[in-house]
Amino acid sequence: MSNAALIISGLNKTLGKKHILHDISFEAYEGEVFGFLGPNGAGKTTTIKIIVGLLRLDEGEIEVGGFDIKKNYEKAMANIGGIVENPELYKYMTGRQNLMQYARMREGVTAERIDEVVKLVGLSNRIDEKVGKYSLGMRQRLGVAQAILHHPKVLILDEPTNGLDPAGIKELRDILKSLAHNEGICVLVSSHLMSEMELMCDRVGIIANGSMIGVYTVAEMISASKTGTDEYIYETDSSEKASALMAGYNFTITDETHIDVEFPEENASQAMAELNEKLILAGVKLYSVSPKEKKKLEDVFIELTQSGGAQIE
Amino acid sequence: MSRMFRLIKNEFIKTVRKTSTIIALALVILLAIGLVVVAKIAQVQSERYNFDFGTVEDDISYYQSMIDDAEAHKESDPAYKQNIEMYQFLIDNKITDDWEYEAIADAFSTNTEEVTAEDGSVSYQVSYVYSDEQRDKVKSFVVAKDWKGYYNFLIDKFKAEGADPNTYWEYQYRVDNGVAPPAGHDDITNWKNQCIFSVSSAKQQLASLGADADESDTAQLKDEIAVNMYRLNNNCEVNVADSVNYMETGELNFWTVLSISVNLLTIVGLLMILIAGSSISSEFSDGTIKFLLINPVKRWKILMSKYFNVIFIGYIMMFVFFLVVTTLSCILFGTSQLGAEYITSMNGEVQTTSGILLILRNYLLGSVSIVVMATLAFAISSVTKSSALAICVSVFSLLSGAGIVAVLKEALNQDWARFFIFANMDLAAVANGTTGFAHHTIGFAVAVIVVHMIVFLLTAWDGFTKKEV
Repeated sequence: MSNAALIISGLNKTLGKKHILHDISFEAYEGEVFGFLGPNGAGKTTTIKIIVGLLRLDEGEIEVGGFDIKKNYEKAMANIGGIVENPELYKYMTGRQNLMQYARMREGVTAERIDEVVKLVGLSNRIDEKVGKYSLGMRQRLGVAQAILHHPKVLILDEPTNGLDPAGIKELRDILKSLAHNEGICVLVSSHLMSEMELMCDRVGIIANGSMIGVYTVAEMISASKTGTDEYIYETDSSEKASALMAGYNFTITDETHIDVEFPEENASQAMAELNEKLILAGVKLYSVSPKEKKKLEDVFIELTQSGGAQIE
Repeated sequence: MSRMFRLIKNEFIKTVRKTSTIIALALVILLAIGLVVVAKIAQVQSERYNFDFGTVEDDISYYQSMIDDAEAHKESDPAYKQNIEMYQFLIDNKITDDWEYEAIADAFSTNTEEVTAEDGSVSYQVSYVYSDEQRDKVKSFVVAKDWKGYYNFLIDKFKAEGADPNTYWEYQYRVDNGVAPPAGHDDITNWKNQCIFSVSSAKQQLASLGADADESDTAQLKDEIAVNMYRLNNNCEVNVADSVNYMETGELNFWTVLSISVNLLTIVGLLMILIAGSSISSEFSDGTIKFLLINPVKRWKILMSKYFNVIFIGYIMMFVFFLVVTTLSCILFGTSQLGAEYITSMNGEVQTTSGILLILRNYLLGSVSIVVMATLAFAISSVTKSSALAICVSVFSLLSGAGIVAVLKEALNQDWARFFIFANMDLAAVANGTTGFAHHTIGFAVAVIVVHMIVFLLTAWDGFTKKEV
């Protein structure tokens, strides 16, 4: 792996009497999209708010681009860009005027750079309109433009796909992937949807109930969802007749016409063809054979977070 | 430093792009225009009343009625003959101006003596105060309209009687400086005549008080004389001090408008409090605070830029107000009085300040309480995130603080009320010693203000930098 752009170690946070974060530690690297996954209320937004300086760091260390956030706040923050919760910008200003505001607060952002990011997020035609007239998707794009304005090493987005339509989600996904893989930015995205993470992320850190459960590559997660068998649904005129011929197979009768049959994963097609032939030759009317849906990544995620004891306090 | 400047620029842009700021600025301009226009209308109206005095014909018919009256009361008024003679003379010579009328009235004034005859019956002996020779002299001065001659005649007469020079100062002054007495009604309101009247009346009061009069009684009269003499000697048509004290003097001119505008600064202050109270809390209510604080800038710097911007905008509004009032006053009242001085006297010693400097000084002193209250609004808004609370508390303080202190001091006689910020914000009153507290010095007031400002700003800093968003 390449250099760690964001190092978090031993993060603890108490809000009032509630201990919200317990020893959160993880690293995110340059050039990857890191998914920060957890159910609602797990502490994702709190962690992100601490990283970007909106909440105070009670205990623990955060290093951004090599700078400690406590000792060297301004330099550390100069390496971070982000959107926390909703992209709420100044509605009474145009998109460009909003970007100018953030440009003035950061070093080295030129007018050309503003044009460049506006083009990158696809807002060139609407940038001189008042933000009050923007749709949520457009505001999200402007938020991303704001976040990457100053070439940050770490880009942090809190639930960026919330409220976006499918086309918008796909576009955002493509933008983030290209930023990470082509420009070497470390992109940290939080979400409570595993399916979304699967499509976007290289690695996923899972948090539940204020504690880190683990960090996995997406490939690891997918293999965790495999059980070693493929399951098919057989629809016949009579489950009774068909099941009599299925000795040696692992099957379950679901109703009079449907049977679930498991085949070993490595030669599933071959085994299925043999069974089909057997049934037809025996005069069983075989209407359809369809693959039963696999155990989904979502289920893995739920299992993982529940093993961490995800009770709502 | 350039970073700070950029932060303030950001805040400035945010403030001026808000519709509420534009409306506030428009209100300030409207207030300024309204003030000058209303003052001009009032001036025009008062001038129209001044022209409504009588004509020569009115005077003549008045004299005629007096003659008729005297003839009707022949029995009861022993001096009726002399009266008729006098009014006839006034009619014949068409005398209407004040000094001529007074001269004739004096020349024809009479003494009436009660004479008791041996048989006990009472009769009245009427004789002129003036000799026939003197009366003829006066008549000839009047006919020749020779006021100098007449005044010299009077001065000689007073000198011969050994009168106090203060009593005939006006005649001496007019003769020495060639200032003619008022002719026609308009001339009475002429500034020179007004000054001369003031000095003359003060001198006569001094003369009547005598040499061993109490110092405190004479001091004010002496100051009045000193100020008016300064105006006469330096040809000062307008005394800005009269315009500043317009409530007492009824003076309504260019400088009155400017000094009323100082009092109206409170309204500009309300608008400044509005901006100060929403500067931080609007970021929270709009949700934009997160994008503001995510930047690589320490929070205290953001807070400072917001505070500087509030103060800057406040002074811009006050300056715009001043500029509109002054410009429009120049247009409507003319620029002839621009160079006028503020003339006062302390123990007979005249002090002068340029009017424009005085008004600017009063604007600056007036801005102190506004800045203090805007800082309070800023601090409350920083701690509570509620602009409504911040604005309410500050506006209430600005408008009623002085009243609360007055109740504590005057009604309840609580001297510790002097430590209240409200007792010290009006630096002009502290300087003039009109706050009601004994030994209330500028140094003390400034110290109280500075302590309060530090507390407010530390509160704002504590609230903003520790806030968890």
